[in-house]
Amino acid sequence: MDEMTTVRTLRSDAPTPERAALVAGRDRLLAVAAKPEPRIRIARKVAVSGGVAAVAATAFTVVQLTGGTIGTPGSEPQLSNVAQVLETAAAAIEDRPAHEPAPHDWIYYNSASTGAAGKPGKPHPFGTWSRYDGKKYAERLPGSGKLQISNIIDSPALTPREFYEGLQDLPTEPEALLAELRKGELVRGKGATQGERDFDAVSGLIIWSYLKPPAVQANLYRALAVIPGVEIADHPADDLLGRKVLSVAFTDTEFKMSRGQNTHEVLLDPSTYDYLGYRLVAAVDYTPPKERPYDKGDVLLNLAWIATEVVDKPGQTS
Amino acid sequence: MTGPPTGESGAGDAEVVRRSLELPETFALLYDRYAPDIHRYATRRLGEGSADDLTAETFLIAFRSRTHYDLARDNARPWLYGIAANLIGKQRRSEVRALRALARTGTDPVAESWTDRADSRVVAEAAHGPLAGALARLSAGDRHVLLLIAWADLSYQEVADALGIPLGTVRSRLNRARRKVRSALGADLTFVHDASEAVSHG
Repeated sequence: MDEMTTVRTLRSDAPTPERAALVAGRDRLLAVAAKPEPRIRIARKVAVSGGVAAVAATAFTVVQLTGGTIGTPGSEPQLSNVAQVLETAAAAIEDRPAHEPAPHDWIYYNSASTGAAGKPGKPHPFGTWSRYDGKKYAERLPGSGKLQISNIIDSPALTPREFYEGLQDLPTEPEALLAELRKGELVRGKGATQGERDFDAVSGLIIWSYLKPPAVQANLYRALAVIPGVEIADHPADDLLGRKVLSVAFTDTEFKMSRGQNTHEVLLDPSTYDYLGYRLVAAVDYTPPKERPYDKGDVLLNLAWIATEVVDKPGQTS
Repeated sequence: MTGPPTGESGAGDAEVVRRSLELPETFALLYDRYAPDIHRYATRRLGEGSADDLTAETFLIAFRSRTHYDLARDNARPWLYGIAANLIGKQRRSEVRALRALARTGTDPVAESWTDRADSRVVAEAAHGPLAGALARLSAGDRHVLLLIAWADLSYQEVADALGIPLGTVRSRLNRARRKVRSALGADLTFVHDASEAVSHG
């Protein structure tokens, strides 16, 4: 027996589902189908193959995104109702099961990033491990790739467990959630205005992908929707790793010598609404002290999030 | 099993998606066509307890992203299996734990989830322990390719479309996975030339 045949015999008695098992899922689908939907206008690559192109054109308006550098506030992203899109995103993720780790489980974080001074070429993923109880940390040494495990003693930072439990305790209602974050216990939002600080706080909890229950991530999306000045753009341009993204963006309203004036983009998967990354883009031309000048549209930080996983041991990635 | 069934409505998958852009509830036709297969596949990978939610969520994600569906593709099976594979991947840890349990103990927690204990006991074939150990050690991507072909009967091209990877990558992942499985199962297998797989899977 060849190996493919052997693979096929494993669990070959798996049952097809009974009607009852499928009816509930169908009802859930129809319930969502019955809700009014956000009207996102997106640019479509319409297949030019005769009848299909004509059909797509009549059923759906194909909209061209105007040109402009990725993330440039001056370009005109196609906007849609921010609250509707973020509510759709929240609804998409909030019913996923939460898997709370055990104290000695480890959390694996993996991301890749470049800054304005980033090296040319492919960004390298960088993974680290934190034990859930916050007592140990691990990473692979550059070069040798050897796993180095260290003890964490007397760190003022919150442990993954403290984050998880703090996030669980957040209010569900958006305004109450923002008020709770302003206390600064979980995260300190920075910015010149209350809106900037609120966006910085909420996006901070999202972009570093701390382990959190999906329901809480959903409420963070809803909280973004009530911050004045938040915009949604559905870019055809991809993230650092070439993935398609939906951008939830906020532009600083004032120029500050210490931070400049930038557009902050939280990047989500357009289909699953998972968190994919973060982009920081100069909103005006400026020169920070002791650094090189930035032009409007320069990408100052491009972060692609790859994974947050609960694992048994450092070194494991799943 | 490559093209989509047209069923009583006579409409291909792309036509169903197109209609659902205007009339959302039409999307349920795709559910009726593909949910049983997706559910069985999810059951086989993760156990009966996870399959209901995973199937429902596959179609909810598909529905919410139907505006991105390429209407030139008349077969929605790869699209749906791609979404399901992504969701299965999020439960990687428990999938691997169950495979390791089968490898260590000869008892398969996943198969136990659908076995009626009053009627029968699941007796794993001798090869299943080492096989499960090999499956547990595969990368997630290699395991998806191997099992989409072996358990979901997708063609190589359908696997490429489902996972968004080139056809050549499908072949190389499959070859790597097969090598590792062969090695785990030991030397007393007859090797079947790759060509026979290529013939049946295009």
